[in-house]
Amino acid sequence: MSWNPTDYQFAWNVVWQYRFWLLEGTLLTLKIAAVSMTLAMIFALPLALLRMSRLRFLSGVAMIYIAVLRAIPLLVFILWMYFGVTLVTGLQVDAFGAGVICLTLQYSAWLAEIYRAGLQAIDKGQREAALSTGLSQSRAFAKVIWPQAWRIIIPPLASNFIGIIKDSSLVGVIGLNELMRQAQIADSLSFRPFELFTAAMVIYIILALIISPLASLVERRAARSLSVQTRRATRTRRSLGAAA
Amino acid sequence: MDGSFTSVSADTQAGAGPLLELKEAHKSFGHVDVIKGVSLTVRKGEHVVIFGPSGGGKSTLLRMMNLLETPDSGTLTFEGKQYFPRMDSVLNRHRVLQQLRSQIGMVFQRFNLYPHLDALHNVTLSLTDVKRMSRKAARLKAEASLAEVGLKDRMDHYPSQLSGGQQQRVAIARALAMDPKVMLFDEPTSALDPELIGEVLGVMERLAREGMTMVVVTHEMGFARRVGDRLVFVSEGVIAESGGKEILSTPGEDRTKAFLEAVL
Repeated sequence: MSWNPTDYQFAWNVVWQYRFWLLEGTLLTLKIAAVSMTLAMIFALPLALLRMSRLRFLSGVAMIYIAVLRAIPLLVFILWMYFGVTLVTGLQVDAFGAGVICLTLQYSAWLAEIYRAGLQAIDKGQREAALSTGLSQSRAFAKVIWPQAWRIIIPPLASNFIGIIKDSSLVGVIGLNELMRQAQIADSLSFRPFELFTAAMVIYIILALIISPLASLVERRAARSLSVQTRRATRTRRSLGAAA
Repeated sequence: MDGSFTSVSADTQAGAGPLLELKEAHKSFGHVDVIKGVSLTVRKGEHVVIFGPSGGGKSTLLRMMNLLETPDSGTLTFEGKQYFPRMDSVLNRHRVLQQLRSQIGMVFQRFNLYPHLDALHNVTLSLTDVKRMSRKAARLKAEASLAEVGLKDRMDHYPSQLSGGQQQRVAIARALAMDPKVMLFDEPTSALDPELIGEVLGVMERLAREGMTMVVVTHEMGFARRVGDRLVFVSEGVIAESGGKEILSTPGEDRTKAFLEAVL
């Protein structure tokens, strides 16, 4: 049996026709992703430190948080947060807030594990050297450990940023006019799913392609020296990258 | 069996009073007793060399001197002030620890230079951060320290761009720049290729001649003989024997004799 194409007539001009819709959606997608990622990056640090705490209770709480949040399907989480939680608590959370909260909470769990892996890749001797010269615990962290861990963390952070952009397409279900939903609405008006979703797909790809070289640039600036530590870091990074 | 050796605290060397004093220190990791009641006094200007078999507790003993390792019991006194057990409040504890460590330089077996900073900034970090020196003053001080270890022309090199011997000399400069009252060396040449050991020992010998108080854990028995005022043989968590250079040629203890026969 041979392939039997329909006599579908392409009409790429719909993409042009709806260009401002798609652009508007892209900007909102970027805004959601950027806000959520920033908040997740901040929130993940104390979470990672709790997870690494020697106090079992604290590390246990962090471990449970991470395990639970990673297990929830994002779509379920978003619907639960926007329709369920607001109904039960009576809190008026708008769609943007609900979407950002869900993405932030879930990604902070992923990022905390990435931070932890990065921090644990730093040789114990680094901290000891810093403490032995009289640095406080917090200064040793800020000036010696974190700057080294940071450059291990950058590449998996970049893949997670790409991930958060893609996952932001789910917040369309609660009525946020991000890129995916704009394409859907345009489709419902024009009945041109192939053209419009292709356009959306291409835009997502372009966003991802922009982020990768940006991340490499940041990484190169952070890691100007190659050393035993960096080589060890590269191995960790590969395993992290594979996991992300 | 540990009681019999603990009294060998070996106070030779005339001179000033004790600078650093560890008394009846005990430390165990899990079920393993690593240090079983060691007392050791370091006087100002003295060069103490600690040697002995691997796993005997040498490094742990050294690391207790700046409380990088906390003893389970015993006391640590530095310049007449007791730092362990700590009398101060929890809030003050970290500051007191910092105060102790900023006066004691330490050099590690694996250098532990900061790989993300060049040689100069490896040295200036604690000058600006702990000693609160201005950047300019810290730079001058660090340059002087690096010059002292012969690396003034390598200031802008990152650790990865330096040989092992050079890295260890930067590590010495980093400790030295803090103007420590005593320097602790934890097997400073054990991670080095044989041809690079000399340059590090050379720097250490010059420091010793200049009167720096030093405690050195090492397997370099030649260095021990040349520099050591007091040699301390640590085995199975106790000071099994200590004394002047003569214990290298005529050890009084069978354990010392057996160890020296194995390494020499």
